[in-house]
Amino acid sequence: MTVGPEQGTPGRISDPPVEGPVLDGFFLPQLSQTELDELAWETRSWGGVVLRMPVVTPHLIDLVCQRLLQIQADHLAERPVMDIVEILGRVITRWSDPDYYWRRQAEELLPVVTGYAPDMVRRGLKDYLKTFRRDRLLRFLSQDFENPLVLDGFQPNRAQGRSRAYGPRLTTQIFAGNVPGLPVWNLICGLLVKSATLGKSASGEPLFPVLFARSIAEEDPALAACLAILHWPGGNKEVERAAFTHSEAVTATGGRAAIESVAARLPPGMPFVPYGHKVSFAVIGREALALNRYTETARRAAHDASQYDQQGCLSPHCLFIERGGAVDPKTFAAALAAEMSRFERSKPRARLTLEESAGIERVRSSYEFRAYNDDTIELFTSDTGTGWTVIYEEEPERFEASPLNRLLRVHPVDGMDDVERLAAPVRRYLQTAGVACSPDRLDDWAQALGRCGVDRICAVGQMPEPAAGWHHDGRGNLTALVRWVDIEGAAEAALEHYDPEWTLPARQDPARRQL
Amino acid sequence: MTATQDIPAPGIRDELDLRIQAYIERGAAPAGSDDSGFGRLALELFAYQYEHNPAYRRFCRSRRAEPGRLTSWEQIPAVPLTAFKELTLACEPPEKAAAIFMTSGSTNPSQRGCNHHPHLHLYDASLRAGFAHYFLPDRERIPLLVLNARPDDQPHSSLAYFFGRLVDFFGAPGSAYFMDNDDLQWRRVAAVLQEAEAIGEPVALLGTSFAYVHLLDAFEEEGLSFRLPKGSRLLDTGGFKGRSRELSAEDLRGQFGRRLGIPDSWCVNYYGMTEISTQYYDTTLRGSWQGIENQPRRKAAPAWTRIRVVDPESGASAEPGQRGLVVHYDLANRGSCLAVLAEDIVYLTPPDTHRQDDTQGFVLLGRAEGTEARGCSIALDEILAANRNGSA
Repeated sequence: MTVGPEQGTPGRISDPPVEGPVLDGFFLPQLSQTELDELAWETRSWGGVVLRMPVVTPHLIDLVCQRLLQIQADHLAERPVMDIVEILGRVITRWSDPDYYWRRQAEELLPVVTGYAPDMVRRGLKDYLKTFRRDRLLRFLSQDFENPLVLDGFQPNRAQGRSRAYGPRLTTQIFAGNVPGLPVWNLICGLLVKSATLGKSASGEPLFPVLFARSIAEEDPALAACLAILHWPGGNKEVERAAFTHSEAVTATGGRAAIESVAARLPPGMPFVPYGHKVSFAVIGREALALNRYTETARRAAHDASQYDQQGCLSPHCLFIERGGAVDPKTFAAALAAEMSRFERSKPRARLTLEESAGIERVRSSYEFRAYNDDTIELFTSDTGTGWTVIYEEEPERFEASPLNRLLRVHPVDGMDDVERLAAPVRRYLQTAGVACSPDRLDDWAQALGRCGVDRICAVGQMPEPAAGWHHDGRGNLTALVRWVDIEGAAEAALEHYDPEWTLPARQDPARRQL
Repeated sequence: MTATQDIPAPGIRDELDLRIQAYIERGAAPAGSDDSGFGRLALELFAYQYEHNPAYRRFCRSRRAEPGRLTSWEQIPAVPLTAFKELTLACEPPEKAAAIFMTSGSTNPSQRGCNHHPHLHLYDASLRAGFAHYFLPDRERIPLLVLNARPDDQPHSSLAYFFGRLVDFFGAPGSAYFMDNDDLQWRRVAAVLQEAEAIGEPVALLGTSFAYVHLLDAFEEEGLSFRLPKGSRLLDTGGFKGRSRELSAEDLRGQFGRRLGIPDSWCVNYYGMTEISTQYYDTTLRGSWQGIENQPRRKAAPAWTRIRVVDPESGASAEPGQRGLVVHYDLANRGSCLAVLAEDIVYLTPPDTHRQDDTQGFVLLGRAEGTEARGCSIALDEILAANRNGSA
């Protein structure tokens, strides 16, 4: 069997010999060609896409960070935020063109790099980038800042004074590789608060942030020069120490171990914005099980669970189905299975590693055997392989995490009380709750879900596509990066006292007097 | 230690059992070109297990496999390890079992896998033939120093039973157990090793990998090391399961060499599990005894077993060198299912044409643990832990 190195563990088995063109897997506009030529280089293959990357040393990080800080001071620190919004908006408009060069590159290469189905990558990127259009960026800003001009200068605040928000001069951002496109969000967050970014690309998918940075460079080279994207093995202590030393903030998206490792090595007092492991689920109310609705509901839920092979933190691990609808929860599970199968036919799941396949088989067989003597369990699976799995389970002992890659549990519930009870032990990991119910129940459900610990409530079918400006993981993502400087109102009044007009000796104006 | 050799194990035996036992007692090396014996016995045993093991029958039916339709042993449906936890996979009434071996349940103590043995004749025949062939080809008996509990203290441990029977069958005077309630009596071990060194009589140590780590740590702390007499050897098994610090197999063997004076090829690792009835040994000791040194380390499937390496996605067999999950076909696993899909990752080694008695070889790479999910979705163990704390 060939086990693709593409699934999160590149290089574990020997890569095939290099063939095809070698592409740049880095973004370093701060360095001259001569300086680039002097670096040590390595090439690695991601499922056949061969990327060239510099070997990252603490010395290289020192150099890049010094340049980034200089360019940030010269070209970004005092640039009006609306200017930045304009440029990023123009970049996103370019990406909306199906023939745009970088988009075509991404659509061609990312399926190879990640193993995700081409159609899924195409659709996923389009839906995702849409959320950064100019109008959405404005919403994003106003979600976090009552008056976004605080990023440019001191603006009146509610305490009678004035405030300005300063972003970090340089942020080290450790990207995730599970969902293509995700690092765009980190890059944009940094630029909106006028921070340069030293980005560490993920080994699972190192390419997209580079392509996106290059598209910014076409629109505005000075802005793009505030970004550097490199790859080094995660947890390289010397390299990361150098990066943290120069930075004023650090963000990291990834697993618990990776985030704890970064957190433990940060210099004291360093602002740190972690985006760690999260789980999501969906609740489907009896109204969405109406005879003329339930198939559509199943299709939407299958989309949520199948997009990016359930790898995103936004993907549901399980569905809670309310009893009392026109079709019972088991019938809904069967409909869901049919829709999972349909999605799989048009957008097949990525190849898995042995370990991942074995993990799914383990869960499946355990339920298969339990179903022998238990009518409250039913297993629906793809005909061959581990393509998708729906497990109908009436009495779950607890909220079980899915091993992902399109494995979904379905649990009937009598109402939100059941959901709250099952979700309680995992509350600090909860993120998105998809809902499908009648509009008049949304408020009550939202209250219950908020109590559970979720930080995003959306419609079933829209789980993988969060709105711009969502308080990702329950925080203001831009405000988490900035440092506020307040001018106290009383100070402005008190300083009147020192107005030179009052302090200079009275000057005479003979001319006037003589008038 | 007095050897109580050949105490007949109790239980039910039939004519098929006797034929399988005779096949095993021919020895671990394959029987030349005549390879049809294994396949015939495997299909016969499958038919028996299909008929007498209702849970397994249901499993086979859902895979459209029944005795009359199979033409080769490769088609026998292999049960995954979870079946030993979720189902009662017994061909005879479980309450009449001569032994029920249970997994340690290190991941989930409330759910232990059980393998029922109506009798232990085939289990014993298998362990004798394998041990004699791969670990003791040069002599009848040797003092066996067991760094593990006595079988009486752990009646459901296949490991304790295995070591205990080895002492019965192969233990020379001086054989002893050195584990008392999880407490390794390393001073006693040191005393026995010193005596062996002094009188020049070789000994064999048996134990789990983590027991050896504790032994080596204690010896290091006390500054003890030994040059055991030529012919001394060591058998270890299993991973560390968080019960000691983790060492690579190479590091561990290096330390066996330095601390105990046992050469690399006489340090043998074996792979076994509760759900099957055969142990797979490194071939290095036998090779060294035959004068073949520096052979690549691999494990051998003795004549009454077959190893198939499969792609869990397609179920297809892997070529030699390609990684996959291991499927065991073990004629000695009479009481439950002869075909078992394990969660270990292995690859087959190409047959060694220089060896007359070469058996099927494979390299064990480790367990297919649930891998941490990519990206920002939660790891399974993390949520398990959260659930456990929440309900406590």
